[in-house]
Amino acid sequence: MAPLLVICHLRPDSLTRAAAQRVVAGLEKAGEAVRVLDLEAEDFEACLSLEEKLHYDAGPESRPELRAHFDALEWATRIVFVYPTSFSGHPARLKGWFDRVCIPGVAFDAPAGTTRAKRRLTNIRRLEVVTTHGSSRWINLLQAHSGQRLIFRSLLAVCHPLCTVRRTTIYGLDHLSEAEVQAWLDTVEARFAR
Amino acid sequence: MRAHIDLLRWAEGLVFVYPTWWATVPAILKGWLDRTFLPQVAFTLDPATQKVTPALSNVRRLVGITTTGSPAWRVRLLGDGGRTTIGRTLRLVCHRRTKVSWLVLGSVHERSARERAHFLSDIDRSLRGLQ
Repeated sequence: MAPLLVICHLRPDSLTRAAAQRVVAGLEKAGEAVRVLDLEAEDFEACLSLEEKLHYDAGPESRPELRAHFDALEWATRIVFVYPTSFSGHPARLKGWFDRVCIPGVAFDAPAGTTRAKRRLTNIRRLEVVTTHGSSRWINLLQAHSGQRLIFRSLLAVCHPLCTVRRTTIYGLDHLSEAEVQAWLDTVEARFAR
Repeated sequence: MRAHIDLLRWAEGLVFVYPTWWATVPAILKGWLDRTFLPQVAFTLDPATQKVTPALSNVRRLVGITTTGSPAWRVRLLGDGGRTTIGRTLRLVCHRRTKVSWLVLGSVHERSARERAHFLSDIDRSLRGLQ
């Protein structure tokens, strides 16, 4: 499977970055050639501009600056999102990636006269989330996991009908010891090496 | 962020007006939440126990006003990230009795001028009695 890794975290020394490295290491062990979209490294613009909004249906050709993202989405058969959960959701920059990259003509088709978008990412057969939560599982359940829902509901709805999902999460980060965190990182690598 | 933080501490209610994109808030609003709801502003963190205490008990009312391209029921089915991010996550740092309400116009691209006007007058009426 052609795995695309989408990573978003500001700090280079963060646990999220360490997890992303383990995902890559695991996938390489499994013999996969992984492509990476590092939103922080390329200083990805999070805000959909007025110009983009006014020409929302203009298709990917009208956004040459996002070419690399569209190509990666077309190439991939599996997407792995690695991000820190902030405010129960994605960092704003990753949300912006959905707003600006997952547009009509790329993620879905919106035929005139219907409200129902037609799926377009039928090449994607696997969606994965690797994320860190500062607070406990219970607090996150109460908060309704808006970050995971965006991927496992909204994005899943435009992928292949038989697309499978998997989450690799760590909760209550503020209360965990260094050894527990290291053990989780080992789990991440082992899961992706299989 | 000084002005934003001062306003947060002053307000008794917060009204969010946004379009729903990908069943949740636009990135710029998510970024505003990430950057203004900081420790010491929205909550305090006990360094010893890591226990979080809400710090915005001045806020007792949360209102969302949003339009969605999909039908409103479909956005609910997809998790309605806007309503949960604000009505649940943000609510955790507000007053314990904070009331939450949402005004939604679904399938916005197919609405007639009359339906849109009706939605606007709904907002007008709902917010007039806000307390």
